[in-house]
Amino acid sequence: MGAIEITWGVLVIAFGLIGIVRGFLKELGVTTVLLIVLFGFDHWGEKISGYVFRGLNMARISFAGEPKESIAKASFYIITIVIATFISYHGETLAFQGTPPKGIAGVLLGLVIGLVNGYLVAGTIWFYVDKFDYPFGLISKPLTPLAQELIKILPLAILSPFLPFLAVFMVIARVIR
Amino acid sequence: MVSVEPSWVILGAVILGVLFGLFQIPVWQGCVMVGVVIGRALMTWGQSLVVSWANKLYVVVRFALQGGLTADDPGAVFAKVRKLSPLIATDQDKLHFTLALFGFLVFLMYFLGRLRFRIRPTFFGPIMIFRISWKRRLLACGLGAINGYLIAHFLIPLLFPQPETVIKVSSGQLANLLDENLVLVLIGFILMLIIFGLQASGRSQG
Repeated sequence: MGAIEITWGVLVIAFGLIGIVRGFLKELGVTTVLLIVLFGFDHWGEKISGYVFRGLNMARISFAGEPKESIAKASFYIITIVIATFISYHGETLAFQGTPPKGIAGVLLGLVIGLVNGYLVAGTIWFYVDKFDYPFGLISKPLTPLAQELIKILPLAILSPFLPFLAVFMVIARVIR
Repeated sequence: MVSVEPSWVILGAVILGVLFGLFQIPVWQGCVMVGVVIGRALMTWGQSLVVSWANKLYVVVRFALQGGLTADDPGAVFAKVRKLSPLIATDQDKLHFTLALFGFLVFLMYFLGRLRFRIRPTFFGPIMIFRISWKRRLLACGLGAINGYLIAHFLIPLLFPQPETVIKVSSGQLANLLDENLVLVLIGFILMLIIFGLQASGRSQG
């Protein structure tokens, strides 16, 4: 049990620090992957999570009842975003080519894009945990007023209409690079 | 009474920002943005703290002006100074102080940016200008537009607290419009930062 907004904030800051260490160009590769994954979630998430749930049922992994269904669906989104994040941080192939800017500009750019990645990853997890009404029992409700305000600015709550454009922008930037 | 559409007010602020950015380099505009964000954060979450420190500083300065520790009876002088009404007491005082501090922070960050990131001006006929590539100029214009928007977003609720003022602007509608588009502005800022970063990055070999 704990304040979810603090966990979220700590995660975002941690990603920001990772961004400083890894550098601006590598972070942009992660941003590209995350935006594409979010676009996929936004457009086909419901359908795919439905298939996953049905598949689990057919495999006799019982998820009868609403709470269990919400656990299965929330798990699908969380596991997918965690795997996508791990692959994009682990691999080099999606990183933008070249040498990142030197000095304070490079540090700041790495920090900002790292924070953006943290916002995308931690924000997406929180978004789906909230959507399925905190199914894992780790968060005590009611949420604080700050948390209730932050929910309104989570990635899929505000970026949804812009995701195709943002993903295309990043892919074009990557190709031109 | 002049009637002004809220969107025109926002557009005006953005155009001013663009015009200002036209003669700048992106990093100076970035410094202005840092000033805007710090000023906004300080005035939103730390206003009471800043106001109380300003009032304390005022007492200290008045004490120093009346002789301070070198006065005949420093204790009596200090007691007298403490009885004075605070410098920032009314809501109107707070508004003026907020505006002044915000403006000071924005200008301070801008001048620090100009000092830290200097570029050499060149002669263009009789006047001195900065030779800046069109890409950097465009980027500075974009950042200037965002700065104009952010400044309007902060100042309009302070300057137009009533639903309608002498210049007929529905401030509630204006504030809503500014809030609704803030996400777009932030996305625009991140995209510009990415373009700026990619430009500043070295090309890969081969």
